[in-house]
Amino acid sequence: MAAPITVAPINHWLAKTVESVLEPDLPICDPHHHFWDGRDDRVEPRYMLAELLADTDSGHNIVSTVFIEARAMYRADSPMEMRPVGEVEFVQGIAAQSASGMYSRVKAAHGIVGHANLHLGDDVRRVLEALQAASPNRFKGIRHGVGWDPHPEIPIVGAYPMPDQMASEDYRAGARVLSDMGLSLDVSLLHPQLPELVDFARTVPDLTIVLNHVGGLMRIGPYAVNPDEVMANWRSGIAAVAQCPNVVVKLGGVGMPRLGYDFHQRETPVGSQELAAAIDPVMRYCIEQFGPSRCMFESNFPVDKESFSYCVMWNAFKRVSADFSPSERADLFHDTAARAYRLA
Amino acid sequence: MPFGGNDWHALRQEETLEPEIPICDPHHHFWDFRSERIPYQRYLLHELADDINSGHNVTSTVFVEARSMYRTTGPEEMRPVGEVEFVQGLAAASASGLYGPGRAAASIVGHANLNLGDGVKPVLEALLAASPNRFRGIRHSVTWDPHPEIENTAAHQAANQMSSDNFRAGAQVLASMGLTLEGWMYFPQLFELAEFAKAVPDLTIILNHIGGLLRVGPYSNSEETLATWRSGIAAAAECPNVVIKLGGIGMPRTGFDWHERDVPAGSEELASDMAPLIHYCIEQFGPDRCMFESNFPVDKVSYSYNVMYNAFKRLSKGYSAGERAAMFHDTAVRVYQVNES
Repeated sequence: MAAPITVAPINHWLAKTVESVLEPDLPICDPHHHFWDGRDDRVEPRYMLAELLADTDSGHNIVSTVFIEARAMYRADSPMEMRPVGEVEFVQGIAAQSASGMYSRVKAAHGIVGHANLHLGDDVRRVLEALQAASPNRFKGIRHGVGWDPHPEIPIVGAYPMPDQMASEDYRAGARVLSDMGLSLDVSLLHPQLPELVDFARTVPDLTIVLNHVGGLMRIGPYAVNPDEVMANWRSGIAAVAQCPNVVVKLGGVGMPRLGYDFHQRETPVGSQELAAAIDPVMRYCIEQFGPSRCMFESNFPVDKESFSYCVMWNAFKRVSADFSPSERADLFHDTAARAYRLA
Repeated sequence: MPFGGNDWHALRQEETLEPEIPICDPHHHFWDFRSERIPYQRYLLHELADDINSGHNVTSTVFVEARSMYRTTGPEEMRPVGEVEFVQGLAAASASGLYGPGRAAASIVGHANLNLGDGVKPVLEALLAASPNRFRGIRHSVTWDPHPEIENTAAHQAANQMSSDNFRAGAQVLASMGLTLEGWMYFPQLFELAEFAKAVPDLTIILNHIGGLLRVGPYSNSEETLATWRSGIAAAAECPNVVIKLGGIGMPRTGFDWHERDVPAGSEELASDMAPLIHYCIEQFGPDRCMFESNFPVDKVSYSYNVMYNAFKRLSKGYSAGERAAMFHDTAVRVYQVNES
């Protein structure tokens, strides 16, 4: 049973660092957040329309958002491969609620990214068609996480915890169906897998691939021992992926503890100046390699809410990007996302 | 103490009677920011789940339109599609099992304007596309009364809608698509309903709220009112394509004072007050064409979900197990093709 409505304690902690909003007019599409309920293992166990809007209406000019799958509201009674259809049905409903205009100017879940198992190969078409039917006007693509690492200290959170998924024939066959249908693929992985992504991206050149969370940079466990080597590997992975014109990258997810920052452990939440300085080298390298027209800032909320507030986070992104031109910043904050997800 | 609120209901606690009887609740709403429905301004999945999980064995529910979450852009006639999209989402959340074993909004009744005549077809197709697996029909309220004292909240306020060619043409489209129509009107209109129902014999019409009995204002003279209501119900029951919902009696316009009490009425009193009305409907329609309904949260101003179904169970004691199964579950599941799995 879902817990009763209460304000999650994380919000009280985040309220300790309050900032005024920088450049409050700059239009933003937040291309990566989740909705869920009853997730007691998360800092915000219920994150539905009201909770999202409490964040997106906190000062920045969020015009639209894109929902990314997170195994929410899977059908309880359905063949395994069709269960994720429940999630898109559910989010389509939240988007309709938002589109009533009763809540906010924000078009929440204006784009919807669901899940289908690409290992179904050609047979994934059935699932993709069902996802499309569940949201004829907002469904844009799927995410099939492939995160895997041989070290037992690294938590693998994907639905399919196994190595080399992107290299498998069935996964690639599934990806071709996705491509044929004009849908996009969100990929979450860990940075040592970036070379594998390069290989994969070349075999499906017509598929738009959205690389999540600055390419899965990880600086914990065995990856905390030699940070210089880790950063060098990450950089060469990012550089290689950036060579594939069909890959775009999301700039965010840096609030996840696996990035190696200690923001989530602070007595008082980090402010945007310090946050911007800390993430600047990572963000800047991605922008350098991909170019602003293939980069999009993302919130990854409520996951990243563990480390900073929505307002402080976008302030930090605005600081980091202050020296880019207005049109480059329009790409980074809005246009790249709108293009990649074909948002009207 | 806000009247009708959850804290007021807490003053009347009852054990759930016959908690094993499966119930399909074929009539409730979802909405947000409804200031005119104090204290139930927000009634979304969590609020419904609290009610349907409060003791009775509610295996499924049917959402009925209430001008909720209409689109703000696009052609006027397509705006109600937003409501079905929205409810489809809550139904999907419920189907995850996270909110209990019952399936909320397992069938969905939306709105389309039947006065569009044949032109209603694209709207019905859009509603079906918004919920290919749960959308079952529409409600087009035709409530109308010449007395200014009678409140009318209908979207399309006109006399004799059911007699108009447009409305009937729209209803034919509905019938040809295998969809149902909710009949929501005031009891003096029941004779018009009977005429209409005969004109569209293939359309299943679900008469809402025991036929819209009013006992306020000009209709306060109970004897005359009840006589007219009884003959109207009898006329509607003559039409085999009409079924009836037993409920909505908690709306103050039905003439009871339950919503004004310091302490909510108990199910014994409710059952004895409701019994003459409900028994008459069952007598006329037969249990196979009757379904108990909550009409929540509208009726929640008068009683809690648990107490209400206790009252329905008390007043239906004299019927056989099969007849009660029909009235609590089977009639609704059949009419709305409810999928409970």
